[in-house]
Amino acid sequence: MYSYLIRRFLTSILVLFGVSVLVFSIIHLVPGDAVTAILGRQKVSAERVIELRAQLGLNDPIPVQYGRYLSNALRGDLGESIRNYVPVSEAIAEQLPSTIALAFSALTIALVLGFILGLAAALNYGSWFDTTIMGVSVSGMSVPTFWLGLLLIMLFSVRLKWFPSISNSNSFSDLFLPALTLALPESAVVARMVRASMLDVLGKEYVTVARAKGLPEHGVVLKHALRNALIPIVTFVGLQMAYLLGGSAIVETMFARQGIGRLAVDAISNRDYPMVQGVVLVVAVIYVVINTFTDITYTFLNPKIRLK
Amino acid sequence: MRMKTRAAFLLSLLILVSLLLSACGAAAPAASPALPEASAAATTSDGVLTIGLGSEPETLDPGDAVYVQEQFVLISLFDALLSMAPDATLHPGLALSWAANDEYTEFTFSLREDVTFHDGTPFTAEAVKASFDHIVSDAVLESGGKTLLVDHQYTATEVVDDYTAVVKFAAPYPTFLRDAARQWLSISSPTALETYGTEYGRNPVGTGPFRFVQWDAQSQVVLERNPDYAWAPEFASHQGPALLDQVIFRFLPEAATRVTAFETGEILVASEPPALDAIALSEAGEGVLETFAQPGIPAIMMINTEKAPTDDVNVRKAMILSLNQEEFVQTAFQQLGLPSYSVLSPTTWSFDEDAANLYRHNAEEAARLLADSGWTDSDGDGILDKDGEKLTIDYITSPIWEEAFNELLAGYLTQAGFDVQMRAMDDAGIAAEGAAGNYNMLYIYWTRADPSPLRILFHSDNIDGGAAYTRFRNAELDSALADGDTQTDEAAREQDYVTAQRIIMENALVLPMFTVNTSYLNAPAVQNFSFDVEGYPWIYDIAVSQ
Repeated sequence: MYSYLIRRFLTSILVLFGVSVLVFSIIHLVPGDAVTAILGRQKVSAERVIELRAQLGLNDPIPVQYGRYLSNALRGDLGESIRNYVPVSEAIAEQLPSTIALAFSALTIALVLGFILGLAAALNYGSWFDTTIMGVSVSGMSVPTFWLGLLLIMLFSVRLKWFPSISNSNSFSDLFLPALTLALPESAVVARMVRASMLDVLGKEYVTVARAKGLPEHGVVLKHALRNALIPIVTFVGLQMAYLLGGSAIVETMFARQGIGRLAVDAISNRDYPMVQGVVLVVAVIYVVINTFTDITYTFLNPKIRLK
Repeated sequence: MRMKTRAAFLLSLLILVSLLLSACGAAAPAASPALPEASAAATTSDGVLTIGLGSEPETLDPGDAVYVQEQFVLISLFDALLSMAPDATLHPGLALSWAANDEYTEFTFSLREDVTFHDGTPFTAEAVKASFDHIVSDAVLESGGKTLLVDHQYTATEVVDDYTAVVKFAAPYPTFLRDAARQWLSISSPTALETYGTEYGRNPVGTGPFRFVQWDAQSQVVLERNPDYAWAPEFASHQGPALLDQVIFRFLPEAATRVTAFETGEILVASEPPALDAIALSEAGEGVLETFAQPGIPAIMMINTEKAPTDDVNVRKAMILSLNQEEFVQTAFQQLGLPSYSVLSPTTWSFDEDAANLYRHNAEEAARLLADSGWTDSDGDGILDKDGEKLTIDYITSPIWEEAFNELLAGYLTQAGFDVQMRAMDDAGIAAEGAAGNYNMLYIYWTRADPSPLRILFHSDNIDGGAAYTRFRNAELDSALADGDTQTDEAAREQDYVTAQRIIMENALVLPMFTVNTSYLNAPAVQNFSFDVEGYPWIYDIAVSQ
């Protein structure tokens, strides 16, 4: 058990090291000169380009630049935006709560909806209800977020006037539409997974045995089947949480919400390299931490894994 | 067991339905406080103007600003030494009178004595010095104002007395008075510059009709009326404090979101709305569409005169004649665009009618010119060729800026027998290929009330390492452009630019497409909407009706 945990932690650190190298390289991977990339089509003299290079510390050997970057990053200093001089870590800290609120709300809606629909479909396997739910969920997964979001705005903001189309805070009314937009496709995936997983487990011998012992059906479903059906879903939720944190850019942009997804989009279009590096690094760290955490949760749900 | 599954199903269904119902039930009261507010703003005046902008400023330090989205806000926060009326005439601003020496290297300004900054600091010549010195200092990495001052070798601002300042340059700068009216060179509070240091861009303090309240990153900038404002430019339609209590700039990057927010009343002004929606809403009486044709270099293709086949003037002329500008603009921008036929847009000072009348869409003439140069369709594939070479146009594009029209433009050229090869790349790629001369055409536009950018784009000194992307060398053009930059006689300067426009168009150096328009969709409650000289909303005079 402990050796598994230690191994898992070491792998995570290795991954984080790899991530830091990649993130550091972003600025050196752009075609042409980094300074030209930053300036874009602004027209400046050659002397100014040289000045700018020096100011950004691009004249040092690459390993020196990387060392400086890593040691600063470890101290929580991700540099300053080259556009507005705001410290990158400050900008991220300002935007992260908004993204977390959105991701949690979306995940909650997705899980509640997905579980209800998936369970209902599994328990009515083969019926018209099952077929309908699965049909709808396929279209749910295929709907592009930006289109779904527009439809929801059209319905709930423009026609019904229930919710604002601009999401400015973490209040219920501001969060509802963006969270629903993110959640609906996710809930379709959850429903399908819950259904498949439940069907698999419900066919297992121990479920038949439980039933044969005369346990009430809800006991069989909730206590014996569901717990085992949860394992693949926990993995999925872990990955999804990380995905929602990093992948909310479209929804944040559409609803003009604050958040790190939009921060990244803006930074990319402004060629604000320190900001892009910072956001990518933070999202990557979140991914790694959540994945590690998921793997550990997993071992508690299924002892077979920790024994291996 | 069968019964039990059915029961479970019904139970799940029940939970689902009740969940949905509770969601709806809970939603209405929770949301209702937000909505009366939003819809009330559309019909009654609480003196708040909410403007939806497509992008967020990077800074509100005028000296550090580069982008369009910054000017929207700066115009209300700051005043400059001079002010420029919508007809491009100069008027007093923070300076009541001004004079230049004969060489246009020293400019003396007599300042107003009744002005205070939003932080209470009195406005004096020290503020002028502090603002300009700040722009050229290391605190500003790269900005519009810095380019203007450094290019003309700003040396110092001399404080003669409290209300007299002399701004000095090492190089002649005849357009300085016009530039001194621009937001980039507007005057900041010296106290605030010192207090905030590098944070000044997030804590701007000016003398303008509105003062800064707050900036929520990726959300909004809020300004409120400056009750002490008593120094509005003489061309404004009222004097004294602004009419609005508050101005809120909301950053709504999605055009579709700006339109829905406009429809729900969450914003009263939507900038750059999608053409079709804007036209539909204004025709339905739900909005008023305001457009402004920007002065300066319109949207043009710079044609490379060094790379085959566009090194042949006939080929370049045929490219211009192949494009039906009117139809092109109608298709791409509906009535929100204007066709363009020259290297300057008609609202620019020194615009020359004759240069703009040289070409109008003419497919036969284009075909004849190409045939004269030996281009024929020998294999019947619709693409012209000569000596086994196709008539290929290498077009490097930025999909971010050019998606609205590049396929359409390529369509016109293809119809005329050109083989258009589009290469999409980012700005850095375009800059690199542009510097290497590796293209046949390249897109550019430049908003400016004065034609002076022509020198940067066409003087042969700027071919290598600069932005003279047509790579055309002509002594007469060079001397006209160089003279235009330093000429102090207005009539002679105008003649320089007329000469330049003619040479550029006669040699078919550019393919003009359309005048860049800014457009705004205003709620009917928005009163006295007007534009400043560069097409930014002049918020000082705006009111929201009862």
